Amino acid sequence: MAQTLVEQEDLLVVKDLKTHYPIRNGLLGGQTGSIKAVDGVSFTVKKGETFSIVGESGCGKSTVGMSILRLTEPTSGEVIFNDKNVLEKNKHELKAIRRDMQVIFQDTYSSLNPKHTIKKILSEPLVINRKMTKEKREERVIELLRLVGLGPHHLNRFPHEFSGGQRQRIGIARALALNPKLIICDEPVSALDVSIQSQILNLLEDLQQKLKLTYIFISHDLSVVEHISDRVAVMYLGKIVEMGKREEIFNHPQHPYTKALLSSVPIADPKLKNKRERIILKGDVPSPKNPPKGCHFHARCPFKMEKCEEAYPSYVHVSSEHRVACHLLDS
Amino acid sequence: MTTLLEVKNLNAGLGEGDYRSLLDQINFTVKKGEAIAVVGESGCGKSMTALSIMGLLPRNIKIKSGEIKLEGVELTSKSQKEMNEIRGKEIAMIFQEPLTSLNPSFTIGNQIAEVLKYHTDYTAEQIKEKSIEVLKQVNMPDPEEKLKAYPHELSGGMRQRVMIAMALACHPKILIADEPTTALDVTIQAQILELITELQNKFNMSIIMITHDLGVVAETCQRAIVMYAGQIVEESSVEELFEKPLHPYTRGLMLSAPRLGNPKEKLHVIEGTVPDPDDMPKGCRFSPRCEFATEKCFAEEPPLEQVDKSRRVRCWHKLL
Amino acid sequence: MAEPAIQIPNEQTERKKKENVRSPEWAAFKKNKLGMAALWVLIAITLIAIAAPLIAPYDPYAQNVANRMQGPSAAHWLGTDSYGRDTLSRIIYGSRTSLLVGVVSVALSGIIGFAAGIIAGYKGGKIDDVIMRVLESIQSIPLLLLGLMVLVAAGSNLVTLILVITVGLLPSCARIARGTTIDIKEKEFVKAAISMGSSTTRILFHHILPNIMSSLLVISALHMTSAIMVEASLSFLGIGVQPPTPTWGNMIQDGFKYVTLNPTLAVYPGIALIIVSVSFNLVGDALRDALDPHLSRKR
Repeated sequence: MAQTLVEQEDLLVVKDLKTHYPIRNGLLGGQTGSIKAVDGVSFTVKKGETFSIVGESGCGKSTVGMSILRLTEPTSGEVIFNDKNVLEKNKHELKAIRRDMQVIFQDTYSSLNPKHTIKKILSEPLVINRKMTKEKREERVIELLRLVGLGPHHLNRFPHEFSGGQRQRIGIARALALNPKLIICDEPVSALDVSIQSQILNLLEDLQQKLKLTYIFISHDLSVVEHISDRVAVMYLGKIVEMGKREEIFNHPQHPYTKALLSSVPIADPKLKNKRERIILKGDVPSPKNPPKGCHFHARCPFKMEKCEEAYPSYVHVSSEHRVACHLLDS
Repeated sequence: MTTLLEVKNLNAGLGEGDYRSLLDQINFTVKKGEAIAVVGESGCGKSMTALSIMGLLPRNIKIKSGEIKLEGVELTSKSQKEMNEIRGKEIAMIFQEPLTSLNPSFTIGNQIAEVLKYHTDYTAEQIKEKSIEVLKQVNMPDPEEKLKAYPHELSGGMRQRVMIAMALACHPKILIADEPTTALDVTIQAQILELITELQNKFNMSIIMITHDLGVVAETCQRAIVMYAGQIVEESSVEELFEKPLHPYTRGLMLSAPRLGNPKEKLHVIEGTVPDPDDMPKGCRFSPRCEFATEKCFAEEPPLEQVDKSRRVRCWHKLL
Repeated sequence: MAEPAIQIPNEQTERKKKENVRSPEWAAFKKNKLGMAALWVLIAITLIAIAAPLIAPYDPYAQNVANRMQGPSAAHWLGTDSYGRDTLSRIIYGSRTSLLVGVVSVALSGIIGFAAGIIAGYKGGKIDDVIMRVLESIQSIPLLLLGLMVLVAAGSNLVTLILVITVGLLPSCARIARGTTIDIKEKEFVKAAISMGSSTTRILFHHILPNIMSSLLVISALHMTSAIMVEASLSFLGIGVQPPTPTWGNMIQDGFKYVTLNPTLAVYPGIALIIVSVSFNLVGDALRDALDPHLSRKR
């Protein structure tokens, strides 16, 4: 909740980003359709803020992150980072831009090369991108370890000798090696135990203050998102259905899906048990292969109207930051 | 309320000569119709406790001593064959990952029928009727159709419903739910938790809810047992537990999880990590991570003490 | 910031741990007694093959008509063949051919096949399609039949024999390399490396190769068996390595002619063949067990 550092300047602008995966079938591998993992997503991220993307599995939140880094090639749209359009850059220019954008993953086991020591893992970005002497490099590696709360005695160990929380710290240290401006955190604490989760969340916040970082925080856990975010976007089936400041989303949600999500979270307070107004959605998230016509959410929506089946709602601005795609707000 | 299940001084661990304790003096009872939570982080022994009750411990882990009594009948001395009679019929269990718990090469109908065939002498006709009935009980949309479906054709939430339907097929007295919603999305989790509570009330079934999520505990259970490093550290009614946790670990867990609608500047942190079973700390097992630890905590292991009628705590410095 | 609980490592346990950790695979392999025994057998046979001129009691080509078709004796431990040549010496020299054909063809097919498979797996798309279709077309012909056709058409000699076996082994080399590469490519540490600006070569050599090496090793050990067996079969059929060069295959064939007179002539080289191929198989299996991620992930 480090809101003090947010500047007004935009660091990242995403415009109408689409990432469709082709579905190949048949003998010749012809394309028979596409999965619209991300289908027209637009948002901006300001310098120094934590922008969260929240949604259920299959909503496309991770694909947004991977598309910004071009680890997954987007189909169309614009990603403007520091006034440069990431999607138009060639391989060489991309390499330069990527130094400023790093990523932290959920699976701490597969995010570190099991055959490399911690020293090798942390040196790698420096070897590739910085010309520095071996001594300088070693110094920097130790500095990175200290930054994430580990010590030099960990240098010559392998990833499997660490606990999940420690491995995540190493993943964070690696992301910090090149002094990035933006870090995409893809479910960084979802695989961790509660007591370790809070250690990592606090670490991320401390680092943000110290190193003036900007985060895109991708998560399915609403409590964590509420804790760490400045602004939040809620995604459903490839589209952002609601976006706004944290307080707006969590205290005054407008979209029925956001309301349902919030009311679904079990709260660790037995006194609230029967006092909360709960919306329990029926059914499952439809397949992104063929999302329902009109508003994607209409099949599960308790407030469905006729026009919801016909047209996808356009955004309605509730406040300067807060916009919602729902026909309920049309009038 | 009558006592249904009683676990007494249960000790279990790895190996024999080079014994490593994984469960240490587990003591608790489950009453008829109540939902009891077993809470803790990974490696605390909560799933191991459930598997001991089911008689499904991995081969390398053995019960060293202790009793598990279901309505007065000792379970630990039963053979696998005798346990098969009890599993599914008296006690049923559902797991975290419904995809791996279902056999991918049989239809849902086949798998429910399997349970019924084993424990009842229904005819084929009755089995089908009963299968549809249990699928209806778990609010499965068009149950007749779903009998012909294979597990991979269903979503995660639907598969968990099938698991619950199979567990319920023979009206077990106790349902053990091992992290039943951890692999599911929030909106689906809400559906499943609601279903479990509904079924508990409908059939007056006892539930042992194994979870790491305090939110799930608060919403579905009446009593809770907190485990740490193979031991019970606290037991209490859910209201009292959340009102006033007595063990520093319980308190730490509650403070370190971000809670919806109550954002804080900074999360509380429990330093360090869960100890390795090879390398258990002397004295209180939580002492190296405890902010209130004193000399005594490092030297002597505290007993699990009864503090009032329904509360037990294992701590030298209870947060009274 | 959360200060980590720094544990002071106990030096002794630390060292013990490290040894296991450096090569947990090797530690697991060592536990497999059968695999270790097979490995020792192979080492011994390799040494025998290398030192054949020093070890063999007789010249394998020296004929002695007076001493034809003799049974085992103090002078000729395994007896003599129809030309009076010493069977033991011929088996010892025969091991050279078997291992040479095995090692060279497995190495060549490995270098080419693994490279092709890794590139196909990593790049995907068209390149993948082309490489894999070509290799699958080779695979549609059984290795022995392929050898027969080529050797009959092009004439028998050792180089052609090795090349044919190499080509025959390529598809399964490529398939294993491709499959494991695709697995590793999806791992997040590769994505992290890309986002740090690693070049493709660097990713292939630093991230992919070390992680698939173990599977490549396993398949190579199993391929040794196939290569040696194919060489023996072709030589048995008379189109592999030509007499008088001794190979186990043509020795079995030779003995076959006199099977009613002295069956042991065919049996001894047969036993040698079985020992070597079974040993390679056992080593391969032991490697697979040792490298199985499900077992080795457990600490």
